[in-house]
Amino acid sequence: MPKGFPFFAKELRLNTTRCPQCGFKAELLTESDFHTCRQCRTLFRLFGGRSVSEQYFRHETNDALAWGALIALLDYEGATAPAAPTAITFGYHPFWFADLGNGSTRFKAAGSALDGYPLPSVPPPGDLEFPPPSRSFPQPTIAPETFLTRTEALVRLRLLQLPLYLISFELSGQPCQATVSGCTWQVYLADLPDETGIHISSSRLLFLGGYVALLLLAGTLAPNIFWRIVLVALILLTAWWLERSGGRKG
Amino acid sequence: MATIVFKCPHCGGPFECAEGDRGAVCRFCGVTSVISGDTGVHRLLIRERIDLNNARAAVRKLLAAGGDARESASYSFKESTLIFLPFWRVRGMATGWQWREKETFREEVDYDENGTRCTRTVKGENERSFSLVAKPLDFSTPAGDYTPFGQMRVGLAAAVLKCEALDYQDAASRGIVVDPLKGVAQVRQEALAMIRGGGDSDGTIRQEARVRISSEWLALSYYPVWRLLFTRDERVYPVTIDAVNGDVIRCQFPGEEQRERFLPLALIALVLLGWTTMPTAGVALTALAAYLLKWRVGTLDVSSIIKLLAGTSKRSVGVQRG
Repeated sequence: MPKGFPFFAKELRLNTTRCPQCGFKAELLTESDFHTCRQCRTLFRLFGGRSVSEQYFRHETNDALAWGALIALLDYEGATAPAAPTAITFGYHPFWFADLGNGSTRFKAAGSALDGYPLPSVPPPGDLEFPPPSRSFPQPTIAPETFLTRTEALVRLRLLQLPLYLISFELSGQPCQATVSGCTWQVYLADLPDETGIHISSSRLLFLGGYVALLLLAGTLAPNIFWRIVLVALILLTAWWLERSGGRKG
Repeated sequence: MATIVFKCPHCGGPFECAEGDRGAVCRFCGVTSVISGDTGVHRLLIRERIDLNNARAAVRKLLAAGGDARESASYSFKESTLIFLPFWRVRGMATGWQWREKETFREEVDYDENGTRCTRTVKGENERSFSLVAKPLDFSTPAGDYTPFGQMRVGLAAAVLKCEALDYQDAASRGIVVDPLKGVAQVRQEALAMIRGGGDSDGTIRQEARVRISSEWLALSYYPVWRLLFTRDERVYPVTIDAVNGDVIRCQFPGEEQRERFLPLALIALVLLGWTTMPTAGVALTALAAYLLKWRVGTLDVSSIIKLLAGTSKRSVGVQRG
């Protein structure tokens, strides 16, 4: 038996595989890790002699809903200062998802665009679809070798394209980042900054300023104490009514 | 994906067949293949009993019970999705052996030099036990991470409720059929861990077990839930409702905003009324305002006064499930 036989045998096993989308037997005529299925024309890659399937969650972009889910969670977490969005970016982001032979799974981001954002630790639930040939998704920049070793028994390796909203916002004057899943509207949020100082919105300042100015005007222009009390009471009741109606609208 | 792709034994071309089909025709060579074997996984669907209107009504009812009616009416319904969540179910016999070593303790009574009775705990000899395992197994586990939908236990439901074979096209036309992300190997491991972990494990320091599942029956039960989105003031509140019994599984609605609205305005008016009338009245009414503030807020701290004027609000605990 030649000395390099085990290596040769490994190379032989790489010669055929199955298309991860249609199951058709694919003959690998090149040493590249990227191949096209002759049957369904799907482009697929190889890792450790196994074809890697790429799947995605269908999603229609809605930035307002993503932002709404985030500020609802901020309310729930007890943030009293208003949050202001800096940037909301929607995109599909690649994640590796590996089923290992011992029953465990591994899940890791495969793109560097997510650096600094809190990420899901497990894949979200949803209807996974194979991407149509007309649609292209961002390709992974992190190789599966970074979290898998070739000696591990790998049952299946998938590249999942997750729809994620990457949100940068300001809270208490400090920059924060959050990720909202397009599959479930779940919000992934790092620790919130400690709220320091008291935050008064400009509309509140305007309201109070106008209220004080009107009171001063009424107090100085009223001809006697009776009219002064009447005018002050009228302004107070009007301001209270405005406050109540404004508060109800949020 | 409930469509199964097979390789035609005649031409090697792939062809699809629906789950439960016993025969299929290859679209490339036209050869009819008979599908046989029982090694596949049964996919069962529990049909929804609660329609969208009833699901919405369940949320409204919960909101009305948790707060005032005006507050609950301020939430507007945005959209809904029916979701079929897969749960693995394993049935069979868990057979094998189990060896366990436990440490034991006993109490010893002793008397000191003064004759006082004292009790002390002394470590005894380790207890080793070997047992054969032969238990019926009925195990159910979510086929993915359903934390966003809340905690659900469908093991009993799948055993009691009527299940039907999953017709993917029909189910997908009504809602989203979620794909299982947990593999069979992981499910078996969890089921066996449950068997091994059962029983008295107090004081166990070492254990070894070899347990296998025989006469295994595997199924994926798809359980229906409604996912509703409610909105208020740009905020989005997802709600999960059990589509079989109408229970609200998960929601996080904030409580009513608690804010002093009249007091800050009244105090400002009082102070300005006094100072625009005469200095003596100004001093008197400012003192009255300070007294009212102390009585209502409990402190004359500057930051508390600014917070009151700024209208900083606190939220009470709202309606939450899951």
